[in-house]
Amino acid sequence: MSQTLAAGSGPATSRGASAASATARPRPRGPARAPRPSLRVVAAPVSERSRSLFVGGCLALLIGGLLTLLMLNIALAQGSFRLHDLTLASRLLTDQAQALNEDIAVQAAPAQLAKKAAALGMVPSGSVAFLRLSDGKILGVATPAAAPKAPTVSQTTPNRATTVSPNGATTPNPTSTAAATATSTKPSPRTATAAPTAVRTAAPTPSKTKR
Amino acid sequence: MFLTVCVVLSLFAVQLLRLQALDASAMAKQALGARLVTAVVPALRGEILDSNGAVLAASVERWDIVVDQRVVRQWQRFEPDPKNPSLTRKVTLGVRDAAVLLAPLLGKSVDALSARLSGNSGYVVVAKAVTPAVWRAVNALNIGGIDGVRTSARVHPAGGLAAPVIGWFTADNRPLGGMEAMLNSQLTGKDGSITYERDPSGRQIATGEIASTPAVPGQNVRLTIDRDLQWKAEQALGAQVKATGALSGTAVVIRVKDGAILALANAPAFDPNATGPSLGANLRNRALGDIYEPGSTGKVMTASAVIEEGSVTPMTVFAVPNTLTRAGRVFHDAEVHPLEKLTFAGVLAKSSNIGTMMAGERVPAATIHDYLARFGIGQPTGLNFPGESQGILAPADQWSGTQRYTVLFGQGLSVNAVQAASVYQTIANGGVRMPPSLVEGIQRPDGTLVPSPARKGTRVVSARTARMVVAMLEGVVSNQGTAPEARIPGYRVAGKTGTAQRYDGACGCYRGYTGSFIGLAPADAPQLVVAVTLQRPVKGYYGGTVAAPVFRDIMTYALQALQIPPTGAISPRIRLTPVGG
Repeated sequence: MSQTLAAGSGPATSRGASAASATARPRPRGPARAPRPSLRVVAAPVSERSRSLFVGGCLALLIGGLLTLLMLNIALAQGSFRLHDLTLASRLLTDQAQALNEDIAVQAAPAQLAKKAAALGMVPSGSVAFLRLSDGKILGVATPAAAPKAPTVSQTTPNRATTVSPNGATTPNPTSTAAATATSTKPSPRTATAAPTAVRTAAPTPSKTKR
Repeated sequence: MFLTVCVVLSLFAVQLLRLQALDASAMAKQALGARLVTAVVPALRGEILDSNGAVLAASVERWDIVVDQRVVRQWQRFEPDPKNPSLTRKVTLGVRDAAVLLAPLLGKSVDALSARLSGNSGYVVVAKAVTPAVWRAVNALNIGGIDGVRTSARVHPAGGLAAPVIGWFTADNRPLGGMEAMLNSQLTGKDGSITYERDPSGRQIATGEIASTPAVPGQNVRLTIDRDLQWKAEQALGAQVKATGALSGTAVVIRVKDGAILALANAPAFDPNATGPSLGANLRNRALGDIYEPGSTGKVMTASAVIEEGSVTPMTVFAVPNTLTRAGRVFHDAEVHPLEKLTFAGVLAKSSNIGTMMAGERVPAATIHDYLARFGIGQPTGLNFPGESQGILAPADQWSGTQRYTVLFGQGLSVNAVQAASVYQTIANGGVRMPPSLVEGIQRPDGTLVPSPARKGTRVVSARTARMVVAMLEGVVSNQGTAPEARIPGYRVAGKTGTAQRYDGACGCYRGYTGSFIGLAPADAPQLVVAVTLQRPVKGYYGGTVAAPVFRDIMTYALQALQIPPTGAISPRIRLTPVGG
């Protein structure tokens, strides 16, 4: 545009022309003032080449941009697919972890532990004793545990005690408990030796019944 | 020809203009609406933990399988054509095929499922609260009309353990009892939501709009209950309730120094995983909701009062007659006996009603009432447990003539089991009553504990009085006392039996007995109080024979589990009868 302007009203606008054209011109004007056509000849090929370059560049940029956008979109979509899959996998694993934790909690419940311990031939201890490490002293009274048949005391004592008044009941009670401990101490070695054998023989049977 | 083309093209142009310029925003909104989905992100309810952090109740993700019966009966899908395997053909399946596929996954019979799937309803629940794995398998079948609704379920890994403490829900999942109701605001989380665009296959569109509010899970609550001790208490109590034919029973374990309830057993209890009308009667916490006349275990309050007031010492001698007439009524002891001389310690050890009356009448009725009230009788426990009953203690000026004497041996007033145990906590704690507690605090997600506010103790009697009463209670478990069955070899044990006449609401009369034993150990440095109460046992009913063995079982286990060694001290011999008497 500036070119056509300069060609149409050359000298008249030399002063009033934009600062841009003023700075662009000084060189050709300097060496030769008279031959004007030469200006045209030089300008034409330059503008032709730069235009095609410009158009080519624009096209390349456009195509490149579109391609990049396409790649980006593909990447995003792929990421979205992957995210979807991974989210599913993560949910699956979370569910599995939750189910396993539930199982552990159920197995760790006291009732389950007691049942398993009983199956292994273990019995609850009926007495409390501590071993003090500093001097090796035994605190409390340790007695061998006997295999209990449900509530041991309540089955034997109430019928005896209820026949007698509470005052009178105090006298037979110690003998009954003494008898209980006496009988419990005697068979306990037997139960203690019986327990491991029971475990040994019992161990293969569940595996047989299972499979 | 040209004209026609012009007309058609301009029609197109007009329509294009209408779509693009005039209706554009509305249509874009409509399209977005079709892609946008908002899903509620349900917040899980907080967990209820025991004092060691073991889970007593937790919420887990569950799915309800629902069906649109109108869709499932015309369910179609594409299957390989048997004539030409490379082609597929549309096959119409229906209710029966859906039921056959679903039956193994849901663990139901094909017939039962078919019945559930057929009909004209748009929404029928086929299976409730299945695990996420089952739902995923059901969803993978792609059965038309079958859908899943995300819910949550309360699971109790330890089964019915401590169920009356943990609590229960109504049929529509509102917390109704126990900790679930009491701590509902802490346990309830805040649901979140997520809004996103999705493609027809349900995948989230990567570049689409997205907005989310995360769900805030409920807080985890840690109780003072010790899971193992609770189990032991329930086992021992349950076995004895069965063996004695009792209507019900309770066992309470309290830590002396701070009043924390370590176990609170009820029998019969209920299974939180079961439902049905049969549960109704057991859906409560008897240890806090049921009140009864404590009987002889209440004599410690009389003993504390008369010793604190300086009217009696453990060595004061009483000549106890067979009967005593007061307020126009003849009072008896549990058994006929000749006139016997007993020290006050002997009165307590042999649980003589008449001896207790003779000691108690030395102190004005109003003073006795004050002591009872300070021991927590007729007062709320401070637990704020739903359905708790604070018992009955009439003001002293409203006591009838005989009531002034019956309250001295624990009749004519009523308590719940925790109140009764709390009296012994006070004596064991040197006379300072710590209000009982059940909640240790809120457990943060990182496992740290925000403890419940500290509670202040109140002094009821002096340390000296408390010491004397504990010493007298050691006489109860001696050979001459009423509960030698409560003895634990190697330990000093103190306690008191109770065999009270039981008020039966059904006949409005006294019928049957309440047998109880409340004890503490080690007697010279008390750490634990165990209170066992059996309501209307029929095979034996004396507290010393029905309740004391349960006390011994629970206390033995508790001393072991909490690693409380014996002090090694030897019980001083307390004279139950006067010198030369």
